[in-house]
Parts: sequence; structure tokens; C-alpha cells
Amino acid sequence: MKLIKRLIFSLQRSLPNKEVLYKSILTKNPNQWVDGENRPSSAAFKDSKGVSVDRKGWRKDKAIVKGFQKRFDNTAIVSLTVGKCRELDTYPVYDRNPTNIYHCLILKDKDTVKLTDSIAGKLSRNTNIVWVSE
Amino acid sequence: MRTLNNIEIAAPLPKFAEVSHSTADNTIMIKLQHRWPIINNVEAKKTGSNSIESLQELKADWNGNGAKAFKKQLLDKVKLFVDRISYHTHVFPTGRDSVQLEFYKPNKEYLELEISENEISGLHSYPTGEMNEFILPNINEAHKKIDFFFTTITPQ
Repeated sequence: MKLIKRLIFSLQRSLPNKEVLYKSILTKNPNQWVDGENRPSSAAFKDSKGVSVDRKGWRKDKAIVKGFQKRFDNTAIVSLTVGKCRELDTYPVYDRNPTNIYHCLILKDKDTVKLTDSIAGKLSRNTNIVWVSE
Repeated sequence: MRTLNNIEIAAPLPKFAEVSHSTADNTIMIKLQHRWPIINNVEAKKTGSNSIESLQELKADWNGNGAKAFKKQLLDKVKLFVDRISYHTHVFPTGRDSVQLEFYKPNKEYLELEISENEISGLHSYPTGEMNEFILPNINEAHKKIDFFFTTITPQ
């Protein structure tokens, strides 16, 4: 069953609205988490290479959290759907690479990488907390 | 209703209004300027976010997405800027060669300044959810923006 799910995922190039995107937010050295508001800073969504996120694919939250923990020491993990990203006028794209088959980018539009300050702010306020280290 | 020296003030006043009574000419002075918490201690200003010094230690790819290490020139500019601010600020690095300063008011109003080597841009978010983006020509204007943010009461 796992193998079939994996095969279906590997053939899937598009990002359906219900697909969930996960973002790792650094919480220490440096910190990009706003403690008082319990959400990521919009600074975490300002990236000259596009906002780096991972799609859920066929995985469970627990496996996704573990995957991020292997890559980052001090991190919180937040999520939002592809549909929400599109509703906020961003352009999520699947950016699979040899080291991460789940990798996606959130861009401003098809031809523009840089998000505006207000879009970065809206994204940071529309995430759901999946996991935060104690 | 507030009472001052046995004088009842009938006008509805916000909590932050300062009322004083002058016995010389028997007048009542009402000061309506809002006072947001001012923190002059430089160390305290860094609470809850990153110190400029800690950003200096970040190596290339600190965000796992190929971000560059911060140039000393930019961090010096930000440090100079932050040292002149007397309000509490949160400092955050971005993945686009800039440092972001965030300011909050208790009414959920929010100001953000993004300082890069060549530009200062920002965002003012109002309690209503409305957002206003802007670009500032220089550091002095950015300081004025912060002062204006903290000394102005936005109707809710």
C-alpha cells in the first residue's frame, strides 16, 4: 500500500489545493519565531530564492517533523494548504530535487520570486502550528 | 467618572489620559498623548529576538535555503539604527540580505521595517487588518516613522 502511495506521489507533478505545505521556522540562532504572538515572523517568508517548503505527499505529520528535525537543530514547524497560498495571491510550485522529493517553493507569481511585505505578513499569520520545540 | 481634588470630571476619558489640577488658576489639564512602554536599556531591547551581534555569526546557508552570510556593512547600519530607537523592537534576519525590525502596540497595531544595504521598506498593519506598504528614503525618515507609530492612536 505504501509503495502504491509512493508511486502515485512520484507521478504527481501538480499541487492540488488541498495539499499541505510544511515550513520549518528557526527558533534559535537565529530566531524567526515571534514569541508574544506565537507565530512565525514574516521575515521567515522573505527569501530571495523563494519560500522553501515541503509538501505532505503521502506522509504523516510525525514523519515530516522527524525529517525537518534531521535537517534543522532548533525549529518549529508550521503548515498551510496550497489553496490558502493561492488565496493569498502567491504561486506555489513543486520544486523536487535529488535530495528532497517533497521540496516546493512559494513564489509571488510565475515570473516573480520576491513576495511583497504584506503577502509575507499574511502568510505568517495564516499558518497552523504543527510542532514547536519546548 | 474620575475625581481629582474633589472635582468630578464628567467627560469620558481614556485610561491613559493624564489629568492634573492647577490651583493657581483653578484649571484642569488633560493630557491625551498615549505613552507606550519605552525601554532605554539596550540589552532589554533585544529580548525575544536576535541581537545584531548574533546575526554577525551566521554562516552562509544559515536558513537551509542558501541564504548568504550578513555583510558587516549592513549589520553596522542596523546596529546604529537600533541604538537610536528607544522602543522595544524585535530583530529578525531574512533570507534576502536584509534585517527586519518589528514593533508591536497592545492594540494589535504593528510596524515592520526591512533594512537592506540600499533600501528601507516597511509595512504598517492596523488593528482592522488593513496593511500599508511603504519605502523610506533614509534612516531619519525611518526613525520618524517609528516615533509616529508610537505616538499616534489609531481609531479602532
